[in-house]
Amino acid sequence: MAEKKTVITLVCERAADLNDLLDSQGNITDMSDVHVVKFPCSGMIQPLMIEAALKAGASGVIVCGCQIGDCYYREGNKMIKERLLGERPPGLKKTVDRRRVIALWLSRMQKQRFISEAKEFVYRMQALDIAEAAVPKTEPTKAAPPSP
Amino acid sequence: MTSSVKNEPENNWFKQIYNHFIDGANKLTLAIEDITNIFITSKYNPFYYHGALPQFYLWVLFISGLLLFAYYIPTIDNAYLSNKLVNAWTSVDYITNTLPFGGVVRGIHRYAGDAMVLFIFLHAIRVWFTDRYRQYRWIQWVTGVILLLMVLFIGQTGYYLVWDERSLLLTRMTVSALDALPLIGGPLKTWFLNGDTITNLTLSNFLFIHIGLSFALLFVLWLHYVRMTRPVLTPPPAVNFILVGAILLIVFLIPISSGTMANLNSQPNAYDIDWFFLFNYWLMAHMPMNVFWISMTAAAVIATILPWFVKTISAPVIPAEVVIDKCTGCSLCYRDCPYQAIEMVPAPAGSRFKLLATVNIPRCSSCGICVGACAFDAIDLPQLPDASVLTEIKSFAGAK
Amino acid sequence: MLKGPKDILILILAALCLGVSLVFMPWCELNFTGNFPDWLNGVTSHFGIDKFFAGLSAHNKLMEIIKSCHAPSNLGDYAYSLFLFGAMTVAAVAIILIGKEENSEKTVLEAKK
Repeated sequence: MAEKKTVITLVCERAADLNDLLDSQGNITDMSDVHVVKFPCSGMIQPLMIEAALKAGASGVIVCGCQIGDCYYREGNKMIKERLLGERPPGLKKTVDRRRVIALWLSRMQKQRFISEAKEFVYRMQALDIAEAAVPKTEPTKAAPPSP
Repeated sequence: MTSSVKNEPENNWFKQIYNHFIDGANKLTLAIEDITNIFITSKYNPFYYHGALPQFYLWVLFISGLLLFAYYIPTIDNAYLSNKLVNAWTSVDYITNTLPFGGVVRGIHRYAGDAMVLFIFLHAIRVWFTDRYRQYRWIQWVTGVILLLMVLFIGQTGYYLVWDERSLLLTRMTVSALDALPLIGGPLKTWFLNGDTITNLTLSNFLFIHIGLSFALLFVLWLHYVRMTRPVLTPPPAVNFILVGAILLIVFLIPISSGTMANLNSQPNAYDIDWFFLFNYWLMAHMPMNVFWISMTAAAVIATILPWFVKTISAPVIPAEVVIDKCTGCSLCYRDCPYQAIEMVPAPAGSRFKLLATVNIPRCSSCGICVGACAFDAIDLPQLPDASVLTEIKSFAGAK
Repeated sequence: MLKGPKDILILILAALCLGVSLVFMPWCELNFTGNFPDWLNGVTSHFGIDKFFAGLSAHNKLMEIIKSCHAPSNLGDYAYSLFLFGAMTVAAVAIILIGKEENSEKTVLEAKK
């Protein structure tokens, strides 16, 4: 019943080199439910892009920038990291489910690390989707015995 | 959709080979850094502080230099002229052998200088291999070349100051080198010697150059940093401990001592070479003087124009554009821009807001960090508008 | 309090740093003797510290290492430099062990609520 949802990856062009992995549509070839959107720098990622992805039905969002300390444009990865952590405006809205967002800081050579983290993340998001689909939304999440 | 680094077949064989080389060098650099990260994590990785390392050694040099300056005497009087010798050589001897820790401070000063040159070269090489010296970063590169030349010259004057036989030989070699220059050679030589021959005035001139140029470094360093927001000026303290510790170890392993006192009547012809600062004297000794000057000048010119000399294949920088109607003047893009490329100016008459962001086009790197900072959709990269990014995200997010 | 081998290592490094700073560095400054200045004599003679310091120079291997630098003069100063290098390096390693961020390559957001 749980349909397969997409994980959106917002990645900077100079971070983990994913070019070899992509099909013509921008999805990762052996993980077709992961779609990759490329930016010149992870600092260009707006928190409202993450909100938009989740609102449109994405299962989760992976943000991937360069190693902290080695952004090609000096500070971009630190900027988006601080925005995600709420330490820098603009930030993520409070309504965003933070379990569905993860950020990776990987160098160009760390393609394998990205793949293993992405696989684990997709798996966790699928489990989360299943868990949430199983809970009917009208009842409270913690069923307390009704008070007399 | 996004501008990628390699997107066109390149006919020019030189550019092909060069790009291959840089790509390989980049990968090697990143591989080494990835391994370092495994042990000490990115927070302490010295490769990520490659500019701050020589800057730190500059502070070590200023402090150790100040201590030496307190006891140094810039005169050349020798036994020929007076009985009780008090001159540069004896003052350095006093510092090295009598003053508590004098020899150690002298060693720290010398080896910190060597370390600074080494780390400047490593810094320049990393900047070159990771392609961070071109276009909007040209001022950093050009001032960097100037800084290197200044540091090398300052270091050389340091060797003259000891006033042992090596100093005398180096001074004389410098005079012949200057003499060989057409037109400006004579005046330069007179300036260098502070007269026509080596006198006390010469040594005080060397001291002035050594200290004065060192302070001038601070001005050129300001230019080096001015186009970067929040430049990283110092490594974390733990890394600084190791930097100082390394110098202390070398001071122990290789204590410094002076050669024989210089005597103007003697003709020294051999010396111990410090490859960091004195390599050009080795070159001078092994080739005709005009070849030396032409190759040194060519090397400096090529180094300076490197940002324009090799135009690798990458898309030209298309600067960000402010959407004037939407800008609220919140200044977040101005704060976040890494290259000082956004200025806040008074908003046009009739606007609800006080300030308006404007892009300083030659400084813009087209990184999009300003786009990430904007909550009002008021700044865009023309080649990648965030509206199209949102469309792509939404279409694929809802795809299944 | 001590949560694992890393914490034990940090403690050992801190103790080493302190030990080198309080023993070897003053010993070098005293030119490898136990001859403390008069105003410290009260303390140092009391606890046998001066004898301990004087006894250190009897260790041949240690003196061999110190003399290996072939310093032209003031051997104590150069030995001090060596021990200071040791103390600073050990302190730096301890600081890095404490301060390094495991998982600096991944940022997971704290789920609010």
